[in-house]
Amino acid sequence: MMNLQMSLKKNMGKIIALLILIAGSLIVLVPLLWTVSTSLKTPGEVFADNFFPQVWKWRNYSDAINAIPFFTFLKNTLIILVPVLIGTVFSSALCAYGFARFKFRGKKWLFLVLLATMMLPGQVTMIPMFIMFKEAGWVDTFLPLIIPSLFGGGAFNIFLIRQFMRGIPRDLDEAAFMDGANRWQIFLKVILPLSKPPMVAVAIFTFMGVWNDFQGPLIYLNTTENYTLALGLSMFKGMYNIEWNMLMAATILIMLPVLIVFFVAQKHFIEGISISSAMKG
Amino acid sequence: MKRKFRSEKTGYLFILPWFIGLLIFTIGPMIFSFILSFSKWDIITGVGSIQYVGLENFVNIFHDELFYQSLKVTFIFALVSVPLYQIIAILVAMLLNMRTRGMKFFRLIFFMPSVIPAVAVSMMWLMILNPEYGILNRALNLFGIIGPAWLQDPKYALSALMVMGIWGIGNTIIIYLSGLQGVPEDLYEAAELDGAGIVKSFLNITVPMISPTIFFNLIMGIIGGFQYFTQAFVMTKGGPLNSTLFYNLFLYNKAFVDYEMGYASALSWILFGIIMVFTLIVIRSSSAWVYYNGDDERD
Amino acid sequence: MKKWTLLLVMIMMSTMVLSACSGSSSNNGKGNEKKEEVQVTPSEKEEVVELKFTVWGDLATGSPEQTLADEFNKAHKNIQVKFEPIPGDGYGTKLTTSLAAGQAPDVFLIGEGDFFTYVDKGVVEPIDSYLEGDSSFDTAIFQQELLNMGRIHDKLYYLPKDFNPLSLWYNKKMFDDAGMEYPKDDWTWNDLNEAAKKLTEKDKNGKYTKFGFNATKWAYPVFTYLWSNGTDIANEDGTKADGFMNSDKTITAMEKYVAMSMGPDKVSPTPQDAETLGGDGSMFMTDKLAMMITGRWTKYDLDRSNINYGTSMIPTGEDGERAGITAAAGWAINANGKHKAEAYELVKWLSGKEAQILRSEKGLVLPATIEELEEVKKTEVADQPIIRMMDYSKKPVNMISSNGPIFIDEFNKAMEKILLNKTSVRDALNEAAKIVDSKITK
Repeated sequence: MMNLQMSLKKNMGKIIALLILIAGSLIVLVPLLWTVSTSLKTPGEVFADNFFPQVWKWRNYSDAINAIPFFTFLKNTLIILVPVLIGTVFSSALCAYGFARFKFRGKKWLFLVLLATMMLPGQVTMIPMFIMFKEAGWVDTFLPLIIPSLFGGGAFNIFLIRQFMRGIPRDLDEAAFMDGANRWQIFLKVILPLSKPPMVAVAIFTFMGVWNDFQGPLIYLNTTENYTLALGLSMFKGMYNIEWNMLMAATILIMLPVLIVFFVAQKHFIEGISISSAMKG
Repeated sequence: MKRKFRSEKTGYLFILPWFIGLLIFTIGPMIFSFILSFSKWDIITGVGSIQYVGLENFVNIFHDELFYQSLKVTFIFALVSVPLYQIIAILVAMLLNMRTRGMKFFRLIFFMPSVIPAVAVSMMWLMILNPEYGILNRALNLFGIIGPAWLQDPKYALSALMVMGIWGIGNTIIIYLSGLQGVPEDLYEAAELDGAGIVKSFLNITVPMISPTIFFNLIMGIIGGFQYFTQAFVMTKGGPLNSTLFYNLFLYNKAFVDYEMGYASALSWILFGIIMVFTLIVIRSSSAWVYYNGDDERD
Repeated sequence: MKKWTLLLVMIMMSTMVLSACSGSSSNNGKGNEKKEEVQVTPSEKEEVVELKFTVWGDLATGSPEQTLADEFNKAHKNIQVKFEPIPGDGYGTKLTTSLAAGQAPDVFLIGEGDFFTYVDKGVVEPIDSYLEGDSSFDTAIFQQELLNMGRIHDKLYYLPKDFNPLSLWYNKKMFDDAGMEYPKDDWTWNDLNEAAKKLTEKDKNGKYTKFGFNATKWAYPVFTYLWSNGTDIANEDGTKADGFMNSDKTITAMEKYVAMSMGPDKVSPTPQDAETLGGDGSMFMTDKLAMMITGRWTKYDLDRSNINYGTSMIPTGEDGERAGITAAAGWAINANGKHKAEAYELVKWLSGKEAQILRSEKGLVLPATIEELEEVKKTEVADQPIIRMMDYSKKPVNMISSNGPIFIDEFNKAMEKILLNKTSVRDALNEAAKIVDSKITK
């Protein structure tokens, strides 16, 4: 008797939850649908009353790719992306481990400094940083966009991973230590594998960040051949007018890789590792 | 039988990369901007024209009507939206945590908005919020409600931006999802056996177990909320009647439109102070509600 | 000041250390700092000077600027130029940042709204001295009113790239459907208002479906309106607002203007409506707006849609006074550049006859030189009134005085309040005038 009631309750719960999700999804999707439909319209239709285009101009997409040096921009974006991704994920995990597992003097202060670096608006640090990189001769190279990420990969990421690591029971470290492992090995063999969820999250965010970064490439890259995809998007805003339909087509194209990456990477941090099973093993 | 690890030095080693990066890339510009807040600089004439003016910037700021307006706008936005977004994000994350088929697609859908470049999002929402033709008001009309002229009405513009922000909390949801994954299943099973209902197990298991994640999102929310900029810059430029004049927008205008970098730098350090205060409050309070499964250390 | 420079120098020193460590990596990208390659041969010394120049937008392939750059390079063996366009959104940010770091291009494009500010700050090099010594180039080839826009405090700073006078654009279909005559050159603002009333339509629910005219809150058309009514928001040299921004003439004129979008005889969308409908251009193209005053840049979109349009002169005031306003872009020589004489050569080239012909070939912009303009007038009917509007062009206050932005800022704020129905025209303008005068320092 009890069991039947309980499983009915469970299913009801699930159904309600699904309904809420569907409703939410619709709300989320409508603006996206508008973007897609605009990308298929003719210039005159962009602000017209009809939600859907009269004729679906798939050509806008091929035009968008051809209007700008799409593949050059793609290449440039990837040249920046790969080192930043690797550097960020790894160095932020490293630093997170330091903050999560060790007791050392001044740690609380340093952690506060870590947080503090995120509290100053970028507008004011932008110019001094630019001057600095200019003195170093790094303007119009990819270096200003890559090198800083190798040093800790950003406070946000360190903080995120650190939180997660602190949730991993110390007994696991203990056990490994008993087996003769040193701190570095504990990091590599115990903590790192268990930190997959936040690390994948960091990877996704980093991917997005680099992919969509406009400000950085704008300031540091001069020659058009060095431009990234995000800058390329702005090419549809000409000197006197904006080509909305092409802009939206290009936006969709640029969004796709990130969405694919997310879809694929999902299972690595969702159907993730259960800490308790690690403990039993 | 706990062995004490010989901690000190190795710890420093692990955070060394960050520390070096801090010294090279971050501290320099921060000091520069700190000095600038006591100077006058119109940027385009180059570094040679930087002039020391002492506390003049700060004095002017405290007499500036727009400064207080921007503080008000930013505070209202941050204090309302940060808790709101957290609650919604947690609830949605819990829904998305269900082990049902097809959940993959739902997660993708909810994540999508945060992938779109902020500028494109802003353009989209400009259309949606159009009083006459936008779909938001058209939808409200179906229920017999006549929607306001959202972005054109000083009373509603800020709320419109807050609503728009809900659409973009995909990032936060993902982080909560990742945190929820770390909650051991057996805890829920045990609670069920004890007869705990949904609400009880939420409050007594979920919340404490994801409290480190809540801590993270709360602080990041505060830091981000107070620095809200892009959407206001693209969509409203601070209007109408300065009802969406966010602090960062006010700052940007001072730097890049009025060419008063010194004033802007002073503003940025005031903001720094404000954010720091709120962050410290959250940190201090964290020992009461944040539970780390892994250790006993307090923040 | 000294101790701050010292501190800054110390910070710079630490970055010097950084650069010393990374000297080799500066060759990774396309390094294009200005370099001089000196090749010494026994008989003569040759220097190749490298220059950079930039504009906003214009990144699409096949841009005329790139062609001009290539041809310049072919024609000048000792000066090689590189064209580095900047995305439109980021132009201000990037130019400002690079000027701050002393890294700005040798030649850059500036919009008329910033002409004065940049000169005021000493960032632009005056051209007069270079022109004097140069017999091959005569500025008489340019439209003199246009050239005048680049003249500040009696010195010439900018050579014209192209220009966009404002004029009246009308939707022929809407006029035909209403059985009305197209706007004429001798129209007054009253005539325009009357025509607009006949072209404005409502549906049975009282919702407006068509508007006759866009009484925009954009300052430029408003200026032409005020000027043609014999008034202005500032005095002649931009030092006083009281008695001008709030003069009876101004107030009366503005009351009439605002009534077009807010009164019982509404003929115009409120600025808020127009903004969210994608602007007057889009409304115009979808037959929802019959007339608008805007710059020639709109022609690009109009020509690509199905609309049948015409242009006419901006209406005159009651006593026949006509005023126009022009948006323009001018080439500036970086005052802190290292090769200003060579930059002058480039600027001449970019604004000269060949450049004007090349750019206006596709009809996207109007050439700045008189001869070429005459040619355009012969072939492009739509352009004739636009070109003639140039003769009536006046400078708004932000092109005359460094206080300009303050005037415009407060005026815009007043307009906003008025159009949101928060205050009367009289009160808003009085308050604005007071605030402006209190903020004026020079």
